[in-house]
Amino acid sequence: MSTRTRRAAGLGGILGTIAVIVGLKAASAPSPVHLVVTPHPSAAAPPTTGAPSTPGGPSSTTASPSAPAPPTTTARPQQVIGSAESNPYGTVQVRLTLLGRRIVDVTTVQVPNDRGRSVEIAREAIPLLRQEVLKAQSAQIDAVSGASYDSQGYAQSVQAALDRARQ
Amino acid sequence: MSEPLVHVEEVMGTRVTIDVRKDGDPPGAATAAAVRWLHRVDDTFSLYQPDSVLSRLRGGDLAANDGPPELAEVLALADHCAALTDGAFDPFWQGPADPTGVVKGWAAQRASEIMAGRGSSAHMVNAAGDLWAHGQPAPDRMWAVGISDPHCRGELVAVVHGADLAVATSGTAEHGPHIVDPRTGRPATAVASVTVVGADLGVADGLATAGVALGADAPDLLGRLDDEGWSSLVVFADGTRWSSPGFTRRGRVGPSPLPVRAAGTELVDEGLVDQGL
Repeated sequence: MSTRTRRAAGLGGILGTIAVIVGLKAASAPSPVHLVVTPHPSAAAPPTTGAPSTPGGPSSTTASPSAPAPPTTTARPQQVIGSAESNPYGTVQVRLTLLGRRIVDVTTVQVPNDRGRSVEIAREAIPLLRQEVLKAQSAQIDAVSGASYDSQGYAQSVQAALDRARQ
Repeated sequence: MSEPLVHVEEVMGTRVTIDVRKDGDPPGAATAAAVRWLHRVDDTFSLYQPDSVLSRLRGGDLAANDGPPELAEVLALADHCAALTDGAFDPFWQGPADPTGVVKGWAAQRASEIMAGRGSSAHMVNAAGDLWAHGQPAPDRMWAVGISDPHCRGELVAVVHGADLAVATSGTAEHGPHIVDPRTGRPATAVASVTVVGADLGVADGLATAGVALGADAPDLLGRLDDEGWSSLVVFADGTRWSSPGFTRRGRVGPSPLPVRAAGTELVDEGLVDQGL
């Protein structure tokens, strides 16, 4: 196992959980606090939770070299900010961009920023977790077996944002 | 058909996701019953609660015959796994019976049976990556379960398709080596992950754990079990892979990059740009 992978495991989401929650309504949300919904997306929906604004979060426009598949839904994009989830490493909060029932982007509103080691972990882990959320719902996968990472804060914030989007 | 619903429950020291595609009546009742069951299992088999049935059994305060029926059922399942694996799954490896290696999978399978009994004809119970998929998610397709790549987060090594399907994966990726080879008493490190697919999640869970414990010898055992309906995939620590004939029939087993990888959602991101986000 690479160092990169091990570090990433320190932060936050269960890939299987993320895969399954995507695009569907969740019945129980883990403690949705500080939820802010911006029903329609302006380019930069400001977090009004008192959270610092997107410190070093991944860009929301990751271009791909080949793009044959446009979104199949005609729904308007919606941005939702998840709950601020605290763990021993700090606080994680995400902003989802939804197109219909599909997550088209995940950016971080808050990442651990108060301790050197946590910042170091977050810098690597958050982009990886973002890829997981996006990839897990690609290609018609209903669930994923084998990945119970400890990245719960991230998963919970994603979950809370999804729940909020469907209320 | 009722609206699809997903429930996430923190229980048994992990997170169980219940994904309902066809609910019973009234909506939500099947899931609620399953959740109650999972908490009951937690109370019965927790080793963190000194007064749980399993703790009392291990402490010698309770005879197996005096416990609830679930205890006897789980102990029998653990014995069955030990027999199937020639002792590589060993609930008695360190003293008193510890069947916790099969409890999670068994509990998820039973939760599904409870839900089916309450009218839910299509759902998945996913206990932190060990899952049972009941029925079909839609009339025209099977469940598709990705097997995560233990060497590369977010990537999949295979996709398994099926209905009424158990998929269990054990490995060293998330928590480091935590499965011990009973033959040597040392942590098993030769294998990164073992996935077992079959018709019972409790057994699949036990077999996957045994596969990790056996390390390099896992294909010998798992290859024999293929004839009995247990299909498996082994990803070794060096990245090489082995799969049983049945697994290859059931799933797409990658040489990377997999078809799955080619369909990444980064593609959708470009659509976003088009819409002026």
